Amino acid sequence: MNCNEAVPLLYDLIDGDLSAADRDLLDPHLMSCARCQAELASIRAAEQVFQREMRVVPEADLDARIVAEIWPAASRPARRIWPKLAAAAAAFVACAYLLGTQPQSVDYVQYLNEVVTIVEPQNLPDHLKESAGGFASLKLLLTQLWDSATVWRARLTATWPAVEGYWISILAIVALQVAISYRLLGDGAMKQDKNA
Amino acid sequence: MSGEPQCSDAELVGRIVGGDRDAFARLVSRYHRAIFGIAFRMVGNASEAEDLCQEIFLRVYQNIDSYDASYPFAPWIYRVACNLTLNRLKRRSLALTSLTVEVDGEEQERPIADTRENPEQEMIRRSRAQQLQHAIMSLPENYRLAFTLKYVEDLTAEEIGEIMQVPRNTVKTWLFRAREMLRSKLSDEL
Repeated sequence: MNCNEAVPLLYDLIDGDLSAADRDLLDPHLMSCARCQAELASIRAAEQVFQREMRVVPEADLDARIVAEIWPAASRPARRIWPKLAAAAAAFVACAYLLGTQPQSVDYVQYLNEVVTIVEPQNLPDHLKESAGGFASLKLLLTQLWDSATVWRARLTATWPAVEGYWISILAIVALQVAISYRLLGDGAMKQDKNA
Repeated sequence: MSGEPQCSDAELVGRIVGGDRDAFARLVSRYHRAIFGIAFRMVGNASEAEDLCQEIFLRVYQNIDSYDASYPFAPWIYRVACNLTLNRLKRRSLALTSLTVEVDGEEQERPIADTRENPEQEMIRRSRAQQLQHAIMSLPENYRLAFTLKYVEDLTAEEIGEIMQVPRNTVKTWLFRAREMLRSKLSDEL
């Protein structure tokens, strides 16, 4: 073992994370290498400084101020439901205006292009951007959604004929809401990683 | 508070979802030192850290419904803290400021650690604390965050990897490089 290989193991040694095999390699080297012995002493000294200096003390009333700001005593702050509802309502108005309510005469490709224009690619989550590769893949994705939606459209309109007049708007609202939801939730807030 | 039974994090979260403000206050009280410590070490000044701390707890509250009680709460809140901290650092460049804060026109030092020592020892210790923070701020953000999580919260490489969502060996590499860089920068003081 040379010194360059030994130094990383010195940190594992002080962390108590050194495997038996690595210990068998490190010990003989340490016994005979003055340089690594000095390195170990330096690492231990640094470790003491880090352990002692890293913790900081906030002001005594910081927790009370945080609670008072987020949750004033007289009220209960709303969680992130209303922004989504407001976004959905605004999207409904915008889509109803842009797309109209005449599905029978619709060239669905034309409507698809209009929906793609509304759903801005920068609002998509990263995994969709990376795999979609731009508008072409996005259109393919929405085409697939459209094909599935067409089946459901037939089922729903058989039960509720009034749905027929607003079908394009409904589909655009759902697609836009998915995009908005990802943006609202994806900006730093974490969902629990259920695979952890 | 001392007479009240100790509630688990999951119990507190359940009560918060039900509208219990006191439960939220207890959860903030339980975690605010750790969150402040992480924020402070990452942004380098106390006022920014307090602001970031509040933003983190606000985000926790707003997304409390997405927390799965079958998993430990601490990694979840640390992950929120890490993401928001890194997002803030990405959005703007933060200049390192001194560890002093101005209160009513008078400069006061923010205490770093609560120790009992004589004034000369205290002065030496504060100078070292400032040098350490300067050195920490020179680290790449991922190194800085891994280093902070280890020494502020005593987390293992595996726990840090779960929070930062990177493999354990990546964390070990980051910690090794961070410690070597800091040891080199602080070699005169050690």
